[in-house]
Amino acid sequence: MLPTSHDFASHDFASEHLARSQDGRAQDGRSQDGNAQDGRSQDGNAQDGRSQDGTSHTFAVCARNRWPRLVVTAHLLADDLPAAEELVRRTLARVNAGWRRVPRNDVDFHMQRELVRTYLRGQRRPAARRAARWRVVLVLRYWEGRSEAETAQLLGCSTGALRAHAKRALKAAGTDPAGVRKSLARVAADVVPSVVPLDDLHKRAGAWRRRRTAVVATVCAAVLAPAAFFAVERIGDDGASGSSGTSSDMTSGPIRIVAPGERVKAAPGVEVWLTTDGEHWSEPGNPNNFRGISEDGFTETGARAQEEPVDHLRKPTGAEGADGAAPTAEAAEASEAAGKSEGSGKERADTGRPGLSVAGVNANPADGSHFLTGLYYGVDGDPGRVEVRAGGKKMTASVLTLAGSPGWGVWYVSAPLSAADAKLFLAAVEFGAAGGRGGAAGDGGGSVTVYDARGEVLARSGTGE
Amino acid sequence: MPSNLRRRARRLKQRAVSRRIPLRVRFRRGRGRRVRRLFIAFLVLIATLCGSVVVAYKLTVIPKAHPETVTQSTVFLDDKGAYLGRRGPVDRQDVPLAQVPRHVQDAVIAAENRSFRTDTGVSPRAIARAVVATVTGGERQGGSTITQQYVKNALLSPEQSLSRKAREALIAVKLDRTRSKDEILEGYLNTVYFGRGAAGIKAAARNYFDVDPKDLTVSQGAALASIVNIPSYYEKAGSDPKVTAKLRYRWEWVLDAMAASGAISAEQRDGARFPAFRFYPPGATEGQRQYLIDVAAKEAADRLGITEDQLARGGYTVHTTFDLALQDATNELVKEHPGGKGVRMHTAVVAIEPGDGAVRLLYGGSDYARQPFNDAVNGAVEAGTALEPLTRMKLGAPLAQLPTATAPTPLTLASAYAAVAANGRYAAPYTVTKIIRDGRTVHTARPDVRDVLSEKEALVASKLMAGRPLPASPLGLTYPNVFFTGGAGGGITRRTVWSTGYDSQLALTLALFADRPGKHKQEQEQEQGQGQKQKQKQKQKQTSVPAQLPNEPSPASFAEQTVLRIWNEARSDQSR
Repeated sequence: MLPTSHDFASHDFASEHLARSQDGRAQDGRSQDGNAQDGRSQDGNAQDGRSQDGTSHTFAVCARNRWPRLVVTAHLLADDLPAAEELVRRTLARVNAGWRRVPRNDVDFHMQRELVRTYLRGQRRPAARRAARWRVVLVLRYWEGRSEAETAQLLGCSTGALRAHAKRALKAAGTDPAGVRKSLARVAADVVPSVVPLDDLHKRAGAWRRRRTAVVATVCAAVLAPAAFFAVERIGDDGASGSSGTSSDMTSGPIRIVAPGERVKAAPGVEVWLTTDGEHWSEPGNPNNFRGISEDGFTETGARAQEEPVDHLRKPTGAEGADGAAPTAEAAEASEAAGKSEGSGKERADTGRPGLSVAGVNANPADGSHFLTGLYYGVDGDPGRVEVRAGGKKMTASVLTLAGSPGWGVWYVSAPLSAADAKLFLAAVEFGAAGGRGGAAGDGGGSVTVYDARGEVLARSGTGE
Repeated sequence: MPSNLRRRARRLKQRAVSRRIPLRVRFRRGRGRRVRRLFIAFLVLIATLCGSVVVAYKLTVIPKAHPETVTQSTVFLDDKGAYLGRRGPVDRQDVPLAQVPRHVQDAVIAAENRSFRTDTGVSPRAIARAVVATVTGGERQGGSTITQQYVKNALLSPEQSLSRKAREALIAVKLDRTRSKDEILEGYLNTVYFGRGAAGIKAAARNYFDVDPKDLTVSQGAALASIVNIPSYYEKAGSDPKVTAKLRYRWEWVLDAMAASGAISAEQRDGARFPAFRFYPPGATEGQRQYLIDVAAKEAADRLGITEDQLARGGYTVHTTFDLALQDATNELVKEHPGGKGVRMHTAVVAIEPGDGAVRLLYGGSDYARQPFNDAVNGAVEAGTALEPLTRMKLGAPLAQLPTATAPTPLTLASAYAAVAANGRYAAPYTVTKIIRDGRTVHTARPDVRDVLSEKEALVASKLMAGRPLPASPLGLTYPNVFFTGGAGGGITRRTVWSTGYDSQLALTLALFADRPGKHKQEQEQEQGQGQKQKQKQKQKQTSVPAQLPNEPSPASFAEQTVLRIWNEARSDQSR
């Protein structure tokens, strides 16, 4: 059905309706369901209103329709007319503010409920609240004639509670339902019809909406601010977890700590261990090899010195190569030529400056590789890497050192070398013989280089780059 | 009431009754009420939960530390304090927090629970962060605080369930309120598992870096702190390159955290190098150590009046008299003997301080795994001419029986020689200098000396021993003041050789002997019963009989040369 006279003659309709209802009220004041009838008809209108003016279901229209009736009900609840009107204004202001959430097929109920709530909210003391509740029960139940269920819904309690309220209300009023109706009718008769003050309602609704948003905003802020703070701190902590790139070390070689006397299987059949004196190693057929380190840097006069009378001629092999002591060199070369490692005589190395030595070269007959080992010393802290160059190949040696960064340690590597290359290597590293014997051109016999963790050369012994 | 009105009323009522409010509308009307009820129910639920938590908290008691987790092992050290070995079910020794450097503490805190010093035992933020990290795949920092981990490790038995987690959290909070942070950290550092069989920071520092906790560097401390995360995985660091790389990544992360929180300076951060680790499993050193530990443990238990098992679990630190470097050198020197065909060579070497009794060297076998029997302490070795200088003397107790004994133990004869070296003053050999527990010394050795010979007699004996001409040493070794060799048998049929050298500070004795497997002795044990076959046991006991020493190399010269070399080794150690 199309919208008809309801829109055009709204003003007239309202007053007309009010007049009618006033007459009806005067009539129904005596009958029991006059207002109820009006209420129903109004409800009927509301129902029809939905289908009739489906597009313009605005607050204004609905408010205009119900204003008179709400005023009457409010007057029945409140003491005087100004208070009643104020009550209805407040009610409608709230309804307007929350108009979106009011279901359109049940506007009357929600307005009525809002009225009841507003009325009850206005009561301060518990006794007044109880009396107000009774009044509400009487008005809704016996004057408007609503069902138990509906009244309970309007009040927001269960039907059982409502029945209890009703009983007590009637007892307090001292009459029966009919008497209630009579007294209420008398009050209702005093109601003067008025026009719905839409502007005021709009203003109030706006104010109400603003206040509500402000409250919600403060509550949200109060709750979310600590959470945000919490989250920021958490993120702040995790931010540090990205590893800030430190100095990128060169690939460091395998360096291990050993306890004094701890045997390490350095190669098949070869065991290496350290004592505070220096390096020991054992190989098949040659169990007790030793290369010593001395703290003071000089040969001791005394028992030890008698072993190697020419020891003091041995200079540390530094960066510029060594001036080899001839007799020892020859002796070493002779034993080396036999393919065995250096003898078990004890030898010393100087720990004053960074340096290197080769302690042993041992052939592994099984696969033709040679086991090379020696000491490094004079290093501050632990070395990064020891590189061995022999037979044209570059290898990273394994390193062993005692705990506490003593500044010296053992390097060893198993290299696939021919016997000739091994000889050249030994000659180059231990004695600094350049170019090797036999005049092999090119990079010489070999070298051993100690790098620190940053990749800088700490010590080198041998020939070639 | 007029009848038309009544009729109207009835009709209206009917109409009212017939028009039922649709269900949806009814539902919508009751919505507010339902939401309110739900909300109240929710609040009540929260309140009940909180209440139950409070009640649970009040009912929780902090349990005592689980006995398994606080068991320590007993550690043995040599005379210079170097680590000899340990006895006990777990590798764990307590260390007071004062001996753990601050940067190590900070490293562990940075790795496991950054808010440790300020949180309350549980950290909801840490839990949230762990969840986020798990979801986004970031660096793993567990949701448990250090306090919680300590509770889990040390105070509760190792089940893992949700209720256990809740109990753990409650105990952690209670613990945090009743103990200081330092106490909790100390307990944590002493019980947390670091891998490699090591629980606690002291065992970990030794197993990974062979140092005491107080000597840990910043890098090493950070590495240990990183390992705590997954100890059974990271323990392979150093050998497995993948594990090492992952550990290094985590190590950098820990160091960054330490630098960010100010625990270390930027220079320290830049200067930190990834540390070197020990081998795992460690290289063999046990060959000699177990003999020493056996003897020292027995003596320590005797002195304290407890069983050896109680000693092993008691967390003692036993300082011994042994010189580990000398012991290892002796081991190497003795190995030079090539052995004999068909005979088993035995060498026993004992070095005692005359007048004091401290046993510096006790070599009684080359490999404990093959021969736990200590030749030096328990072996009966025929003395032969080794007792000659003492046969005509009257020795006081406890050496009274010695001159007539045919096969004394090397230890006994060595102590007799030491008595001669000390001008007739016998000192009972001992191996334990002091025992420490919880920082307190519970035992100190006191030399037990008594005179067994008069000075004159001692001098006579000395002269007898020193009278023989000394062969030149091919290696230019120094001779001790008194050098004497004796033994049973002679010529090419030597059965035993005893070689001794001493001066006023050290008395060194070596005994060389051999045996061969003897006849198999069959012992039959028959169980009483119905003669069932399986109850009959046959035991074959391997016996050994003394054998002649092989002549190649000459036993006497080998013994003498070895004694000289050990002597010089000992002397050079002393001079250094």
